[in-house]
Amino acid sequence: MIELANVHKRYGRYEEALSGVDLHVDPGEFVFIVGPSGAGKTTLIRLLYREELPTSGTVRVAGKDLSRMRPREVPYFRRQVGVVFQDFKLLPERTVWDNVAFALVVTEVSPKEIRRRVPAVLELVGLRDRARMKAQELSGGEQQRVAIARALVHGPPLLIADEPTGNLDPTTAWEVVQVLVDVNHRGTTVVVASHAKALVDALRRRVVELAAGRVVRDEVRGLYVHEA
Amino acid sequence: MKLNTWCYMVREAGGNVRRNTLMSTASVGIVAVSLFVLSVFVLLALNVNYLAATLESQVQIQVFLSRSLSTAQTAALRQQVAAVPGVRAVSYISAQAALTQLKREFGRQQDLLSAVEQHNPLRPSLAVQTVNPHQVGAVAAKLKGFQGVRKVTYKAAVVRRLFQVADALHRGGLILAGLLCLATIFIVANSVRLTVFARRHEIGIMKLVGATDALIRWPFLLEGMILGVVGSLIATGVLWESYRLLEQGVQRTIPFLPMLPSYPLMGELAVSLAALGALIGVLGSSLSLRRYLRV
Ligand SMILES: Nc1ncnc2c1ncn2[C@@H]1O[C@H](COP(=O)(O)OP(=O)(O)OP(=O)(O)O)[C@@H](O)[C@H]1O
Ligand SMILES: [Mg+2]
Repeated sequence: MIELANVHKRYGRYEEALSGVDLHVDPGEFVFIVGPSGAGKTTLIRLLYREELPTSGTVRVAGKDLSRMRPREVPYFRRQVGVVFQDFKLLPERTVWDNVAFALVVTEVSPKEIRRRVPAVLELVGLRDRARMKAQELSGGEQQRVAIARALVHGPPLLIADEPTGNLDPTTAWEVVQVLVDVNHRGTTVVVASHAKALVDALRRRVVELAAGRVVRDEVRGLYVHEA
Repeated sequence: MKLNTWCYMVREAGGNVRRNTLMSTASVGIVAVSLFVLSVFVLLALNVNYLAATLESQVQIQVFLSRSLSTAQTAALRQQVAAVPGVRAVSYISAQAALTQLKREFGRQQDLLSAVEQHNPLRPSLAVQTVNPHQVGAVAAKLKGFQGVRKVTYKAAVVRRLFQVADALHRGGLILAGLLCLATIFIVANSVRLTVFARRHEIGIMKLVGATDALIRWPFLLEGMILGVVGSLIATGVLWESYRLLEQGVQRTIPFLPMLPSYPLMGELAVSLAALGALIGVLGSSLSLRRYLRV
């Protein structure tokens, strides 16, 4: 599903944010990306949905070499990758329903199909009864779940989340992670960048640790910090 | 693209126009003014042209004859003139008829002419019409050489002058209107730029969830188009009414001045202005999209 080979990323003249990253993720996996602030987690994630291109090396996602992709193909690629942002990126004035439907409307899905898919995905994240509320009226955890619903509404084979529990209290964070686990159980590959030690440790999934732009650890059933 | 998508984009564009009331109104107003000025020049040029063409078709050559010609000689000359290639009709105007005609034209002041009545100073003449107005010059030159012809005149100079005026109006109007349209494009661009700026957050999300560039772009292009077309409709409305009033005024005061009838002229003008307005709108918005929307 994901294949990074000797990936380097440098922003302008700054030091490299990623230096020589190799990473292979199979379909159906659940992967945590951990590491200290500035380690390059967000950079790695940006490469995965082609917000950024690598300075050198290759990034393949869903079978496509993202550096070779023509600009006009990018929108169609993005529909296959659901992305959940730390700051949600919702439209605050619009309702939950509209926020989720938005991703379908702007990708020319028929109204009939929208009426079928939106309730299903809201059900999945447990927000069926919040559909008519405005995004700005929701709690942080609810907003995060709307963001997840929107990322999932295209039925993407890959879901990427950058610190999805960053602003949430432990209970809410746990609920959100449960949604991600649920999604993974239905067959979607999930990649999560996270600082939340408790969650990582509780789930015992694959953990990839970055430090100063390099992969320093990759464990199948890992903890947030390396077991001594 | 699908019908649903078009509906979506038109709705978005309409929403943009409404949300951005001040700039939208300003843009529409300026589009209307520019197109109005442009049309005034076009209408002026068209009418002067029309006037010239009308006069041209009425141009006739006046061949003044020597007073000493006998009736037989005059008849012979008349036949000779009629045989010149390009001549359509020849009519004889005697000195007496010319004087009567002149008196009629002087109307109430014809007393002035009674002094000359004893000794008619006018010459008999032939009025020659050509098949084609453009042949006037050539035919006149030929007639000059005929025996018994004293003088040949025609009004071609006035006509040529009028055509020149129409041409100048056309050219000057086009340059002025071109500059105005250019300014208008920038105003529309600015208006659309404000919308793009206000919606940059939304645009970012659209890109991330996989909206195509076309889908992101079109609502803004349509927004510009709406501004342009609404502006052109206002210009057309004002123009139509003004032309109608002018037509009535001319009809009342100088009825012999030929004016292009408003039908089908105004209809054609309305369509052209709408197209031009739409073009201005699209150019304006693509200008701001190119600069402010990296899609
Ligand atoms: N747009 C950018 N321009 C320049 N430098 C950048 C940019 N984005 C990130 N960096 C740099 O790249 C490095 C890695 O940043 P990145 O955001 O990937 O870290 P991170 O692991 O996500 O950190 P955090 O846990 O704080 O979110 C940092 O040194 C950062 O300053
Ligand atoms: Mg980060």
